Amino acid sequence: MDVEKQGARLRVRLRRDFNLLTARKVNKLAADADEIYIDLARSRLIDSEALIVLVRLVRAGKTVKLTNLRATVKTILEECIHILGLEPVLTLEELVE
Amino acid sequence: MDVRLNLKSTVNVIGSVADFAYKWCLNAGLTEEDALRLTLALDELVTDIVLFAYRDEPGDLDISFRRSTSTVEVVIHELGEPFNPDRHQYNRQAALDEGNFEGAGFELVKHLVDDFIFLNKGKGGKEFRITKVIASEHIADLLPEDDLPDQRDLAPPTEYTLALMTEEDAEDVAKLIYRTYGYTYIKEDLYFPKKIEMALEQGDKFAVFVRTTAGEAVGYFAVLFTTNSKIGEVGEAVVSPRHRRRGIMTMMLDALIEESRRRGLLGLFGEAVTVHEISQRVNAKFNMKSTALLLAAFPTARYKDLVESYEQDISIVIDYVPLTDVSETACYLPEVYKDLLVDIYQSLGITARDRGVHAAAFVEESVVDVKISYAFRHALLVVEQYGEDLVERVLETTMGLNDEGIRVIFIDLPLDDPLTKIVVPDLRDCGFVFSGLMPLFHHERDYLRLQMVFGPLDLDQIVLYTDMAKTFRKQIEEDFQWTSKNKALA
Repeated sequence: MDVEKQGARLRVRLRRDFNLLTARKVNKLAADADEIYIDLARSRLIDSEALIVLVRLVRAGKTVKLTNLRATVKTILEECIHILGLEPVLTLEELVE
Repeated sequence: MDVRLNLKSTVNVIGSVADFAYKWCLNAGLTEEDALRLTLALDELVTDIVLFAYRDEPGDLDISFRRSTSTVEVVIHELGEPFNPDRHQYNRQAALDEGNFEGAGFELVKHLVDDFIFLNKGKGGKEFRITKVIASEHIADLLPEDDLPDQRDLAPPTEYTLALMTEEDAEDVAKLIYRTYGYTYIKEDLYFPKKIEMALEQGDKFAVFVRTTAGEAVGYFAVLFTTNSKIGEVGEAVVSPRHRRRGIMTMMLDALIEESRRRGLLGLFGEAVTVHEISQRVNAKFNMKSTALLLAAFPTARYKDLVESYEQDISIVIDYVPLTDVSETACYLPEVYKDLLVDIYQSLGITARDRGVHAAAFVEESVVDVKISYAFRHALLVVEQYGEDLVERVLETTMGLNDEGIRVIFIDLPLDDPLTKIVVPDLRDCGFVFSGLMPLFHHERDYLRLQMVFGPLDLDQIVLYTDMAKTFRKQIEEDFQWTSKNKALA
Protein backbone atom coordinates (compact mmCIF):
# COMPACT_ATOMS: atom_id res chain seq x y z
CA MET A 1 0.00 0.00 0.00
CA ASP A 2 1.42 3.38 -1.00
CA VAL A 3 0.65 6.10 1.54
CA GLU A 4 0.88 9.85 1.20
CA LYS A 5 -0.09 12.25 3.99
CA GLN A 6 -0.48 16.00 3.69
CA GLY A 7 -1.82 17.48 6.90
CA ALA A 8 -5.33 16.11 7.39
CA ARG A 9 -5.42 14.67 3.89
CA LEU A 10 -4.55 10.99 3.42
CA ARG A 11 -3.98 9.36 0.06
CA VAL A 12 -3.53 5.61 -0.13
CA ARG A 13 -3.04 3.48 -3.19
CA LEU A 14 -3.89 -0.17 -2.65
CA ARG A 15 -1.76 -2.77 -4.37
CA ARG A 16 -4.38 -5.47 -3.94
CA ASP A 17 -8.03 -5.98 -3.01
CA PHE A 18 -9.79 -3.81 -0.47
CA ASN A 19 -10.36 -6.62 2.02
CA LEU A 20 -9.86 -7.48 5.70
CA LEU A 21 -6.11 -6.87 5.64
CA THR A 22 -6.11 -3.60 3.68
CA ALA A 23 -9.28 -2.32 5.37
CA ARG A 24 -7.62 -2.67 8.76
CA LYS A 25 -4.60 -0.70 7.53
CA VAL A 26 -6.72 2.04 5.96
CA ASN A 27 -8.77 2.32 9.14
CA LYS A 28 -5.63 2.75 11.22
CA LEU A 29 -4.05 5.28 8.86
CA ALA A 30 -7.28 7.28 8.64
CA ALA A 31 -7.51 7.84 12.39
CA ASP A 32 -6.08 11.35 12.26
CA ALA A 33 -7.17 12.31 8.74
CA ASP A 34 -10.21 14.31 7.66
CA GLU A 35 -10.04 13.59 3.93
CA ILE A 36 -9.23 10.12 2.73
CA TYR A 37 -8.59 9.25 -0.91
CA ILE A 38 -8.33 5.55 -1.69
CA ASP A 39 -6.95 4.64 -5.11
CA LEU A 40 -8.42 1.28 -6.17
CA ALA A 41 -6.88 1.01 -9.64
CA ARG A 42 -5.30 -2.31 -8.68
CA SER A 43 -8.23 -3.69 -6.67
CA ARG A 44 -10.78 -6.15 -7.94
CA LEU A 45 -12.81 -6.56 -4.78
CA ILE A 46 -14.28 -4.37 -2.10
CA ASP A 47 -15.60 -6.73 0.54
CA SER A 48 -17.85 -6.26 3.58
CA GLU A 49 -14.88 -5.57 5.88
CA ALA A 50 -13.93 -2.67 3.63
CA LEU A 51 -17.52 -1.44 3.49
CA ILE A 52 -17.71 -1.49 7.29
CA VAL A 53 -14.59 0.68 7.48
CA LEU A 54 -16.01 3.07 4.86
CA VAL A 55 -19.27 3.41 6.81
CA ARG A 56 -17.39 4.09 10.03
CA LEU A 57 -15.18 6.73 8.43
CA VAL A 58 -18.15 8.50 6.81
CA ARG A 59 -20.12 8.28 10.05
CA ALA A 60 -17.16 9.87 11.83
CA GLY A 61 -17.62 12.91 9.60
CA LYS A 62 -14.62 12.25 7.37
CA THR A 63 -14.63 12.82 3.63
CA VAL A 64 -13.94 9.54 1.84
CA LYS A 65 -13.34 9.25 -1.89
CA LEU A 66 -12.63 6.11 -3.90
CA THR A 67 -10.64 6.77 -7.04
CA ASN A 68 -9.76 4.90 -10.23
CA LEU A 69 -12.34 2.16 -9.80
CA ARG A 70 -12.74 -0.28 -12.66
CA ALA A 71 -16.24 -0.39 -14.14
CA THR A 72 -16.94 -3.92 -12.89
CA VAL A 73 -15.73 -3.07 -9.40
CA LYS A 74 -18.08 -0.08 -9.36
CA THR A 75 -21.01 -2.26 -10.47
CA ILE A 76 -20.45 -4.85 -7.76
CA LEU A 77 -19.82 -2.17 -5.13
CA GLU A 78 -23.19 -0.61 -5.93
CA GLU A 79 -24.83 -4.03 -5.63
CA CYS A 80 -23.23 -4.67 -2.25
CA ILE A 81 -24.27 -1.26 -0.88
CA HIS A 82 -27.81 -2.05 -1.98
CA ILE A 83 -27.83 -5.61 -0.56
CA LEU A 84 -26.71 -4.33 2.84
CA GLY A 85 -29.04 -1.33 2.70
CA LEU A 86 -26.23 1.16 3.25
CA GLU A 87 -27.56 3.85 0.89
CA PRO A 88 -28.37 6.26 3.74
CA VAL A 89 -24.64 6.40 4.49
CA LEU A 90 -22.84 5.36 1.32
CA THR A 91 -23.78 6.36 -2.21
CA LEU A 92 -21.68 5.91 -5.31
CA GLU A 93 -22.22 9.55 -6.26
CA GLU A 94 -20.60 10.76 -3.08
CA LEU A 95 -18.10 7.97 -2.67
CA VAL A 96 -16.61 7.56 -6.13
CA GLU A 97 -14.54 10.32 -7.64
CA MET B 1 -10.33 -28.74 -14.49
CA ASP B 2 -11.32 -29.24 -10.87
CA VAL B 3 -8.84 -27.93 -8.32
CA ARG B 4 -8.42 -28.36 -4.58
CA LEU B 5 -6.45 -26.05 -2.29
CA ASN B 6 -5.32 -27.00 1.21
CA LEU B 7 -4.53 -23.87 3.19
CA LYS B 8 -4.09 -22.50 6.68
CA SER B 9 -6.67 -19.98 7.81
CA THR B 10 -4.42 -16.95 8.06
CA VAL B 11 -5.38 -13.44 7.06
CA ASN B 12 -2.76 -13.51 4.30
CA VAL B 13 -4.49 -16.28 2.33
CA ILE B 14 -7.62 -14.20 1.68
CA GLY B 15 -6.09 -12.15 -1.15
CA SER B 16 -4.33 -15.11 -2.75
CA VAL B 17 -7.49 -17.23 -2.69
CA ALA B 18 -9.43 -14.38 -4.30
CA ASP B 19 -6.77 -13.92 -7.01
CA PHE B 20 -6.83 -17.62 -7.84
CA ALA B 21 -10.62 -17.89 -7.69
CA TYR B 22 -11.15 -14.97 -10.05
CA LYS B 23 -8.86 -16.39 -12.74
CA TRP B 24 -10.30 -19.87 -12.29
CA CYS B 25 -13.87 -18.58 -12.62
CA LEU B 26 -13.01 -16.75 -15.84
CA ASN B 27 -11.41 -19.88 -17.28
CA ALA B 28 -14.47 -21.89 -16.26
CA GLY B 29 -16.62 -19.63 -18.43
CA LEU B 30 -18.13 -17.05 -16.06
CA THR B 31 -18.43 -13.47 -17.26
CA GLU B 32 -16.13 -10.93 -15.64
CA GLU B 33 -18.90 -9.64 -13.38
CA ASP B 34 -20.09 -13.09 -12.31
CA ALA B 35 -16.50 -14.17 -11.70
CA LEU B 36 -16.19 -11.16 -9.40
CA ARG B 37 -19.45 -11.97 -7.62
CA LEU B 38 -18.40 -15.55 -6.91
CA THR B 39 -14.91 -14.43 -5.89
CA LEU B 40 -16.34 -11.84 -3.53
CA ALA B 41 -18.64 -14.47 -1.99
CA LEU B 42 -15.63 -16.73 -1.47
CA ASP B 43 -13.64 -13.84 0.02
CA GLU B 44 -16.47 -13.25 2.52
CA LEU B 45 -16.59 -16.90 3.58
CA VAL B 46 -12.83 -17.24 3.91
CA THR B 47 -12.69 -13.98 5.89
CA ASP B 48 -15.32 -15.30 8.30
CA ILE B 49 -13.38 -18.52 8.75
CA VAL B 50 -10.14 -16.59 9.37
CA LEU B 51 -11.85 -14.34 11.91
CA PHE B 52 -14.16 -16.72 13.75
CA ALA B 53 -13.67 -20.43 13.01
CA TYR B 54 -10.26 -20.82 14.58
CA ARG B 55 -9.82 -18.33 17.37
CA ASP B 56 -6.56 -19.43 18.97
CA GLU B 57 -4.44 -20.41 16.02
CA PRO B 58 -4.92 -20.88 12.27
CA GLY B 59 -6.51 -24.18 11.28
CA ASP B 60 -7.05 -26.18 8.11
CA LEU B 61 -9.01 -24.66 5.29
CA ASP B 62 -9.85 -26.76 2.27
CA ILE B 63 -11.26 -25.18 -0.89
CA SER B 64 -12.43 -27.17 -3.92
CA PHE B 65 -13.26 -25.56 -7.25
CA ARG B 66 -15.56 -27.62 -9.46
CA ARG B 67 -17.09 -26.84 -12.80
CA SER B 68 -19.54 -28.30 -15.28
CA THR B 69 -20.71 -26.83 -18.56
CA SER B 70 -23.53 -24.98 -16.84
CA THR B 71 -22.29 -24.12 -13.35
CA VAL B 72 -19.22 -23.48 -11.26
CA GLU B 73 -19.15 -24.54 -7.63
CA VAL B 74 -16.76 -23.70 -4.82
CA VAL B 75 -16.78 -25.89 -1.71
CA ILE B 76 -15.13 -24.51 1.43
CA HIS B 77 -14.49 -26.97 4.22
CA GLU B 78 -13.13 -26.25 7.70
CA LEU B 79 -12.91 -27.91 11.08
CA GLY B 80 -13.27 -24.89 13.33
CA GLU B 81 -15.73 -24.08 16.11
CA PRO B 82 -19.36 -25.13 15.73
CA PHE B 83 -21.40 -22.45 14.07
CA ASN B 84 -24.99 -21.84 13.06
CA PRO B 85 -25.40 -19.16 10.37
CA ASP B 86 -29.11 -18.83 11.16
CA ARG B 87 -28.13 -17.26 14.47
CA HIS B 88 -26.06 -14.58 12.77
CA GLN B 89 -28.62 -12.88 10.54
CA TYR B 90 -27.77 -9.46 9.17
CA ASN B 91 -29.92 -6.61 10.43
CA ARG B 92 -29.84 -3.44 8.29
CA GLN B 93 -31.20 -1.25 11.02
CA ALA B 94 -28.66 -2.49 13.55
CA ALA B 95 -25.92 -1.83 10.99
CA LEU B 96 -27.06 1.73 10.34
CA ASP B 97 -28.06 2.68 13.89
CA GLU B 98 -25.54 0.82 16.02
CA GLY B 99 -22.74 -0.03 13.60
CA ASN B 100 -23.46 -3.71 14.26
CA PHE B 101 -22.57 -5.51 11.03
CA GLU B 102 -22.91 -9.08 12.26
CA GLY B 103 -23.92 -11.37 9.40
CA ALA B 104 -23.08 -8.80 6.68
CA GLY B 105 -20.70 -11.20 4.94
CA PHE B 106 -23.30 -13.98 4.74
CA GLU B 107 -25.91 -11.53 3.53
CA LEU B 108 -23.66 -10.62 0.61
CA VAL B 109 -22.88 -14.27 -0.14
CA LYS B 110 -26.60 -15.15 -0.30
CA HIS B 111 -27.25 -12.44 -2.88
CA LEU B 112 -24.09 -12.72 -4.95
CA VAL B 113 -24.37 -16.40 -5.85
CA ASP B 114 -27.11 -18.53 -7.37
CA ASP B 115 -26.98 -21.22 -4.68
CA PHE B 116 -25.54 -21.13 -1.18
CA ILE B 117 -25.64 -24.20 1.03
CA PHE B 118 -24.26 -24.60 4.53
CA LEU B 119 -23.68 -28.13 5.74
CA ASN B 120 -22.88 -28.97 9.32
CA LYS B 121 -21.08 -32.30 9.17
CA GLY B 122 -20.71 -32.75 12.91
CA LYS B 123 -17.25 -34.01 13.74
CA GLY B 124 -16.51 -33.83 10.03
CA GLY B 125 -16.54 -30.05 10.22
CA LYS B 126 -18.51 -27.51 8.27
CA GLU B 127 -18.94 -27.01 4.58
CA PHE B 128 -20.04 -23.96 2.62
CA ARG B 129 -21.01 -24.45 -1.01
CA ILE B 130 -21.50 -21.59 -3.42
CA THR B 131 -22.42 -21.87 -7.09
CA LYS B 132 -22.88 -19.59 -10.02
CA VAL B 133 -24.63 -20.49 -13.27
CA ILE B 134 -22.59 -19.83 -16.40
CA ALA B 135 -24.50 -17.25 -18.43
CA SER B 136 -24.75 -17.93 -22.13
CA GLU B 137 -26.78 -16.90 -25.15
CA HIS B 138 -29.84 -19.09 -25.82
CA ILE B 139 -30.21 -20.41 -29.36
CA ALA B 140 -33.73 -18.92 -29.56
CA ASP B 141 -32.16 -15.47 -29.24
CA LEU B 142 -29.84 -16.21 -32.15
CA LEU B 143 -32.55 -17.37 -34.54
CA PRO B 144 -35.09 -15.28 -36.47
CA GLU B 145 -38.43 -15.04 -34.67
CA ASP B 146 -40.28 -17.14 -37.25
CA ASP B 147 -37.75 -19.99 -37.06
CA LEU B 148 -40.03 -22.34 -35.17
CA PRO B 149 -39.68 -26.03 -34.37
CA ASP B 150 -39.62 -28.17 -37.50
CA GLN B 151 -43.13 -29.33 -38.43
CA ARG B 152 -42.56 -30.01 -42.10
CA ASP B 153 -43.19 -33.33 -43.89
CA LEU B 154 -40.60 -36.07 -44.29
CA ALA B 155 -37.52 -35.05 -46.22
CA PRO B 156 -36.96 -36.56 -49.67
CA PRO B 157 -34.53 -39.51 -49.72
CA THR B 158 -30.91 -38.40 -49.43
CA GLU B 159 -27.45 -39.64 -48.46
CA TYR B 160 -26.03 -38.89 -45.01
CA THR B 161 -22.50 -38.28 -43.80
CA LEU B 162 -21.41 -38.94 -40.25
CA ALA B 163 -18.40 -37.33 -38.58
CA LEU B 164 -17.05 -36.65 -35.12
CA MET B 165 -18.43 -33.33 -33.99
CA THR B 166 -16.19 -30.27 -33.74
CA GLU B 167 -16.66 -26.87 -32.05
CA GLU B 168 -17.80 -25.44 -35.41
CA ASP B 169 -20.91 -27.67 -35.28
CA ALA B 170 -22.06 -26.29 -31.89
CA GLU B 171 -24.54 -23.75 -33.22
CA ASP B 172 -26.06 -26.30 -35.62
CA VAL B 173 -26.58 -28.71 -32.70
CA ALA B 174 -28.44 -26.05 -30.71
CA LYS B 175 -30.58 -25.21 -33.76
CA LEU B 176 -31.34 -28.88 -34.36
CA ILE B 177 -32.43 -29.36 -30.74
CA TYR B 178 -34.57 -26.22 -30.78
CA ARG B 179 -36.22 -27.01 -34.12
CA THR B 180 -36.89 -30.59 -33.06
CA TYR B 181 -38.03 -30.19 -29.47
CA GLY B 182 -38.93 -26.52 -29.04
CA TYR B 183 -38.22 -25.75 -25.39
CA THR B 184 -38.90 -29.24 -24.04
CA TYR B 185 -35.53 -30.98 -24.34
CA ILE B 186 -34.44 -32.14 -20.91
CA LYS B 187 -30.73 -31.20 -21.23
CA GLU B 188 -30.91 -27.42 -21.11
CA ASP B 189 -27.25 -26.87 -21.97
CA LEU B 190 -27.99 -27.87 -25.55
CA TYR B 191 -29.84 -24.61 -26.17
CA PHE B 192 -26.61 -22.67 -25.64
CA PRO B 193 -24.04 -22.95 -28.48
CA LYS B 194 -21.26 -21.52 -26.31
CA LYS B 195 -21.82 -24.18 -23.64
CA ILE B 196 -21.75 -26.95 -26.25
CA GLU B 197 -18.54 -25.51 -27.68
CA MET B 198 -16.97 -25.26 -24.24
CA ALA B 199 -17.95 -28.82 -23.29
CA LEU B 200 -16.18 -30.10 -26.39
CA GLU B 201 -13.13 -27.89 -25.88
CA GLN B 202 -12.76 -28.99 -22.28
CA GLY B 203 -13.20 -32.66 -23.07
CA ASP B 204 -16.48 -33.03 -21.14
CA LYS B 205 -17.95 -34.97 -24.03
CA PHE B 206 -17.47 -36.19 -27.58
CA ALA B 207 -20.17 -36.56 -30.16
CA VAL B 208 -21.04 -37.58 -33.68
CA PHE B 209 -22.92 -35.39 -36.08
CA VAL B 210 -24.90 -36.32 -39.17
CA ARG B 211 -25.57 -34.06 -42.14
CA THR B 212 -27.30 -34.57 -45.45
CA THR B 213 -25.16 -34.28 -48.56
CA ALA B 214 -26.58 -30.77 -48.88
CA GLY B 215 -25.08 -29.93 -45.49
CA GLU B 216 -28.32 -29.88 -43.44
CA ALA B 217 -27.76 -30.91 -39.81
CA VAL B 218 -30.05 -33.85 -39.04
CA GLY B 219 -28.55 -35.91 -36.21
CA TYR B 220 -26.47 -35.53 -33.08
CA PHE B 221 -25.50 -38.05 -30.40
CA ALA B 222 -23.01 -37.49 -27.57
CA VAL B 223 -21.15 -39.39 -24.90
CA LEU B 224 -20.69 -37.30 -21.78
CA PHE B 225 -18.09 -37.71 -19.09
CA THR B 226 -20.30 -37.17 -16.07
CA THR B 227 -18.54 -39.47 -13.61
CA ASN B 228 -15.00 -39.66 -12.26
CA SER B 229 -14.47 -42.98 -13.97
CA LYS B 230 -13.67 -44.39 -17.39
CA ILE B 231 -17.31 -44.73 -18.39
CA GLY B 232 -19.47 -42.43 -20.47
CA GLU B 233 -23.10 -41.36 -20.43
CA VAL B 234 -25.05 -41.57 -23.67
CA GLY B 235 -26.97 -38.54 -22.66
CA GLU B 236 -27.80 -36.31 -25.60
CA ALA B 237 -29.39 -37.49 -28.82
CA VAL B 238 -31.53 -35.95 -31.50
CA VAL B 239 -32.65 -36.80 -35.03
CA SER B 240 -34.60 -34.31 -37.08
CA PRO B 241 -38.23 -35.53 -37.36
CA ARG B 242 -38.00 -35.15 -41.13
CA HIS B 243 -35.21 -37.75 -41.25
CA ARG B 244 -36.42 -40.32 -38.71
CA ARG B 245 -36.81 -44.07 -39.34
CA ARG B 246 -33.82 -44.06 -41.67
CA GLY B 247 -31.35 -45.70 -39.32
CA ILE B 248 -29.60 -42.47 -38.32
CA MET B 249 -29.83 -43.16 -34.57
CA THR B 250 -28.37 -46.65 -34.98
CA MET B 251 -25.63 -45.36 -37.27
CA MET B 252 -24.69 -42.72 -34.68
CA LEU B 253 -24.74 -45.12 -31.72
CA ASP B 254 -22.58 -47.66 -33.55
CA ALA B 255 -20.08 -44.90 -34.29
CA LEU B 256 -20.15 -43.70 -30.68
CA ILE B 257 -19.54 -47.19 -29.31
CA GLU B 258 -16.61 -47.64 -31.68
CA GLU B 259 -15.20 -44.25 -30.67
CA SER B 260 -15.76 -45.05 -26.96
CA ARG B 261 -13.79 -48.28 -27.31
CA ARG B 262 -11.04 -46.44 -29.17
CA ARG B 263 -10.83 -43.99 -26.27
CA GLY B 264 -10.56 -46.84 -23.77
CA LEU B 265 -13.95 -46.44 -22.09
CA LEU B 266 -15.05 -49.45 -20.06
CA GLY B 267 -18.80 -48.96 -20.32
CA LEU B 268 -21.65 -46.69 -21.34
CA PHE B 269 -24.78 -45.82 -19.43
CA GLY B 270 -27.98 -43.95 -20.10
CA GLU B 271 -30.59 -42.35 -17.90
CA ALA B 272 -34.13 -43.12 -19.05
CA VAL B 273 -37.13 -41.24 -17.71
CA THR B 274 -40.01 -43.31 -16.36
CA VAL B 275 -42.87 -41.04 -17.39
CA HIS B 276 -43.22 -43.31 -20.41
CA GLU B 277 -41.45 -46.39 -21.80
CA ILE B 278 -39.90 -44.81 -24.88
CA SER B 279 -36.38 -44.02 -23.67
CA GLN B 280 -36.17 -47.31 -21.78
CA ARG B 281 -37.18 -49.21 -24.92
CA VAL B 282 -34.56 -47.41 -26.98
CA ASN B 283 -31.87 -48.29 -24.43
CA ALA B 284 -32.99 -51.93 -24.36
CA LYS B 285 -32.90 -52.03 -28.16
CA PHE B 286 -29.25 -51.01 -27.99
CA ASN B 287 -28.52 -53.88 -25.60
CA MET B 288 -28.31 -51.78 -22.46
CA LYS B 289 -29.36 -53.49 -19.24
CA SER B 290 -31.19 -51.85 -16.33
CA THR B 291 -29.00 -51.63 -13.24
CA ALA B 292 -30.72 -49.08 -10.98
CA LEU B 293 -33.90 -47.11 -10.38
CA LEU B 294 -33.34 -43.58 -9.09
CA LEU B 295 -36.47 -42.28 -7.42
CA ALA B 296 -37.69 -38.71 -7.97
CA ALA B 297 -34.38 -37.69 -9.51
CA PHE B 298 -35.84 -34.89 -11.69
CA PRO B 299 -38.32 -32.36 -10.30
CA THR B 300 -41.42 -32.32 -12.49
CA ALA B 301 -41.70 -28.56 -12.11
CA ARG B 302 -38.61 -28.20 -14.29
CA TYR B 303 -40.16 -30.20 -17.11
CA LYS B 304 -43.75 -29.08 -17.07
CA ASP B 305 -43.78 -28.55 -20.84
CA LEU B 306 -42.59 -32.11 -21.31
CA VAL B 307 -44.82 -33.93 -18.82
CA GLU B 308 -47.93 -31.86 -18.27
CA SER B 309 -50.02 -34.60 -16.72
CA TYR B 310 -47.36 -36.29 -14.59
CA GLU B 311 -47.98 -35.37 -11.01
CA GLN B 312 -44.85 -36.41 -9.16
CA ASP B 313 -41.12 -35.96 -9.55
CA ILE B 314 -39.61 -38.05 -12.31
CA SER B 315 -37.74 -41.22 -11.48
CA ILE B 316 -35.12 -42.57 -13.86
CA VAL B 317 -33.71 -45.95 -14.78
CA ILE B 318 -29.98 -46.40 -15.22
CA ASP B 319 -29.25 -48.62 -18.21
CA TYR B 320 -25.71 -49.84 -18.79
CA VAL B 321 -23.68 -51.69 -21.38
CA PRO B 322 -20.11 -52.91 -20.70
CA LEU B 323 -17.58 -52.27 -23.44
CA THR B 324 -15.00 -54.79 -22.24
CA ASP B 325 -15.14 -58.53 -21.81
CA VAL B 326 -15.28 -59.02 -18.06
CA SER B 327 -16.91 -62.34 -17.23
CA GLU B 328 -16.35 -62.51 -13.47
CA THR B 329 -16.13 -60.29 -10.44
CA ALA B 330 -15.65 -60.91 -6.74
CA CYS B 331 -17.20 -58.40 -4.35
CA TYR B 332 -18.82 -57.95 -0.98
CA LEU B 333 -22.54 -58.28 -1.55
CA PRO B 334 -24.76 -57.16 1.35
CA GLU B 335 -26.97 -60.07 2.39
CA VAL B 336 -30.29 -58.29 1.90
CA TYR B 337 -29.56 -57.40 -1.75
CA LYS B 338 -27.22 -60.27 -2.62
CA ASP B 339 -29.49 -62.22 -4.99
CA LEU B 340 -30.65 -59.11 -6.78
CA LEU B 341 -27.11 -57.82 -7.28
CA VAL B 342 -26.01 -61.21 -8.61
CA ASP B 343 -28.91 -61.06 -11.09
CA ILE B 344 -27.96 -57.57 -12.24
CA TYR B 345 -24.35 -58.64 -12.81
CA GLN B 346 -25.63 -61.70 -14.64
CA SER B 347 -27.68 -59.54 -16.99
CA LEU B 348 -24.45 -57.70 -17.85
CA GLY B 349 -22.80 -61.02 -18.63
CA ILE B 350 -20.77 -61.00 -15.41
CA THR B 351 -20.75 -63.76 -12.82
CA ALA B 352 -20.58 -62.13 -9.40
CA ARG B 353 -19.03 -64.08 -6.56
CA ASP B 354 -19.68 -62.93 -3.00
CA ARG B 355 -16.43 -62.73 -1.05
CA GLY B 356 -18.22 -63.42 2.22
CA VAL B 357 -17.55 -61.65 5.50
CA HIS B 358 -14.02 -60.38 6.05
CA ALA B 359 -12.66 -58.84 9.18
CA ALA B 360 -12.02 -55.18 8.50
CA ALA B 361 -11.61 -52.22 10.79
CA PHE B 362 -13.33 -48.89 10.55
CA VAL B 363 -10.99 -45.91 10.67
CA GLU B 364 -11.91 -43.11 13.06
CA GLU B 365 -13.40 -40.70 10.54
CA SER B 366 -15.28 -41.41 7.35
CA VAL B 367 -14.48 -39.76 4.06
CA VAL B 368 -17.66 -38.98 2.14
CA ASP B 369 -17.74 -36.85 -0.98
CA VAL B 370 -20.95 -34.87 -1.43
CA LYS B 371 -22.06 -33.92 -4.94
CA ILE B 372 -25.09 -31.67 -5.13
CA SER B 373 -27.22 -31.19 -8.21
CA TYR B 374 -28.63 -27.73 -7.58
CA ALA B 375 -30.77 -27.81 -10.70
CA PHE B 376 -32.44 -31.09 -9.76
CA ARG B 377 -32.30 -30.58 -5.97
CA HIS B 378 -30.77 -33.98 -5.31
CA ALA B 379 -27.45 -34.99 -3.80
CA LEU B 380 -25.10 -37.92 -4.10
CA LEU B 381 -22.93 -39.05 -1.20
CA VAL B 382 -19.99 -41.19 -2.28
CA VAL B 383 -18.34 -43.17 0.50
CA GLU B 384 -14.59 -43.10 -0.04
CA GLN B 385 -13.59 -44.47 3.34
CA TYR B 386 -15.65 -46.09 6.09
CA GLY B 387 -15.21 -44.58 9.53
CA GLU B 388 -16.82 -45.36 12.85
CA ASP B 389 -18.91 -42.23 12.38
CA LEU B 390 -20.29 -43.15 8.95
CA VAL B 391 -23.98 -43.57 9.79
CA GLU B 392 -23.97 -40.52 12.06
CA ARG B 393 -22.14 -38.48 9.39
CA VAL B 394 -24.49 -39.61 6.62
CA LEU B 395 -27.57 -38.79 8.67
CA GLU B 396 -26.27 -35.36 9.68
CA THR B 397 -25.41 -34.55 6.08
CA THR B 398 -28.74 -35.91 4.85
CA MET B 399 -30.75 -33.83 7.30
CA GLY B 400 -28.62 -30.75 6.58
CA LEU B 401 -29.19 -31.17 2.84
CA ASN B 402 -32.91 -31.66 3.34
CA ASP B 403 -33.04 -28.44 5.39
CA GLU B 404 -31.49 -26.73 2.36
CA GLY B 405 -34.26 -28.00 0.07
CA ILE B 406 -32.60 -31.11 -1.32
CA ARG B 407 -35.38 -33.64 -2.02
CA VAL B 408 -33.53 -36.89 -2.63
CA ILE B 409 -30.28 -38.29 -1.28
CA PHE B 410 -28.40 -41.04 -3.06
CA ILE B 411 -25.49 -42.82 -1.42
CA ASP B 412 -22.91 -44.93 -3.25
CA LEU B 413 -21.15 -47.71 -1.31
CA PRO B 414 -18.10 -49.47 -2.77
CA LEU B 415 -18.72 -53.16 -3.37
CA ASP B 416 -15.03 -54.01 -3.11
CA ASP B 417 -14.98 -52.92 0.55
CA PRO B 418 -15.94 -55.58 3.14
CA LEU B 419 -17.44 -52.91 5.39
CA THR B 420 -20.25 -52.29 2.88
CA LYS B 421 -21.81 -55.53 4.10
CA ILE B 422 -21.81 -54.22 7.66
CA VAL B 423 -23.03 -50.72 6.93
CA VAL B 424 -25.96 -51.51 4.62
CA PRO B 425 -28.29 -52.87 7.37
CA ASP B 426 -27.59 -49.75 9.48
CA LEU B 427 -28.39 -47.43 6.60
CA ARG B 428 -31.52 -49.44 5.85
CA ASP B 429 -32.53 -49.02 9.49
CA CYS B 430 -32.23 -45.27 8.99
CA GLY B 431 -34.60 -45.30 6.03
CA PHE B 432 -32.34 -45.73 3.02
CA VAL B 433 -33.79 -48.07 0.38
CA PHE B 434 -32.40 -49.96 -2.58
CA SER B 435 -31.59 -48.13 -5.79
CA GLY B 436 -29.30 -50.48 -7.70
CA LEU B 437 -25.86 -51.26 -9.04
CA MET B 438 -23.73 -48.42 -10.38
CA PRO B 439 -21.12 -50.31 -12.42
CA LEU B 440 -17.66 -48.69 -12.47
CA PHE B 441 -19.20 -45.35 -11.46
CA HIS B 442 -16.32 -43.92 -9.42
CA HIS B 443 -12.64 -44.54 -10.07
CA GLU B 444 -13.45 -47.72 -12.04
CA ARG B 445 -15.06 -49.41 -9.00
CA ASP B 446 -18.57 -50.88 -8.71
CA TYR B 447 -20.95 -49.29 -6.19
CA LEU B 448 -24.22 -50.22 -4.56
CA ARG B 449 -26.53 -47.22 -4.60
CA LEU B 450 -29.12 -46.64 -1.86
CA GLN B 451 -31.54 -43.72 -1.73
CA MET B 452 -33.72 -41.70 0.61
CA VAL B 453 -36.64 -39.67 -0.74
CA PHE B 454 -38.23 -36.85 1.20
CA GLY B 455 -41.88 -36.35 0.43
CA PRO B 456 -44.57 -38.62 -1.00
CA LEU B 457 -43.98 -40.78 -4.04
CA ASP B 458 -46.38 -43.23 -5.67
CA LEU B 459 -44.28 -46.10 -7.00
CA ASP B 460 -47.19 -47.30 -9.16
CA GLN B 461 -46.98 -44.14 -11.25
CA ILE B 462 -43.45 -45.04 -12.33
CA VAL B 463 -43.62 -46.53 -15.83
CA LEU B 464 -41.04 -49.30 -16.26
CA TYR B 465 -40.19 -51.33 -19.32
CA THR B 466 -37.65 -54.02 -18.40
CA ASP B 467 -38.37 -56.89 -16.02
CA MET B 468 -35.21 -56.03 -14.13
CA ALA B 469 -36.39 -52.48 -13.47
CA LYS B 470 -39.71 -53.86 -12.23
CA THR B 471 -37.77 -56.08 -9.82
CA PHE B 472 -36.03 -52.95 -8.48
CA ARG B 473 -39.40 -51.38 -7.78
CA LYS B 474 -40.50 -54.53 -5.92
CA GLN B 475 -37.35 -54.43 -3.81
CA ILE B 476 -37.90 -50.74 -3.07
CA GLU B 477 -41.49 -51.47 -2.03
CA GLU B 478 -40.22 -54.18 0.32
CA ASP B 479 -37.66 -51.78 1.75
CA PHE B 480 -40.29 -49.11 2.32
CA GLN B 481 -42.52 -51.64 4.08
CA TRP B 482 -39.60 -52.86 6.16
CA THR B 483 -38.73 -49.29 7.12
CA SER B 484 -42.33 -48.54 8.17
CA LYS B 485 -42.52 -51.74 10.22
CA ASN B 486 -39.16 -50.96 11.76
CA LYS B 487 -40.28 -47.46 12.72
CA ALA B 488 -43.52 -48.79 14.20
CA LEU B 489 -41.60 -51.30 16.33
CA ALA B 490 -39.20 -48.59 17.46
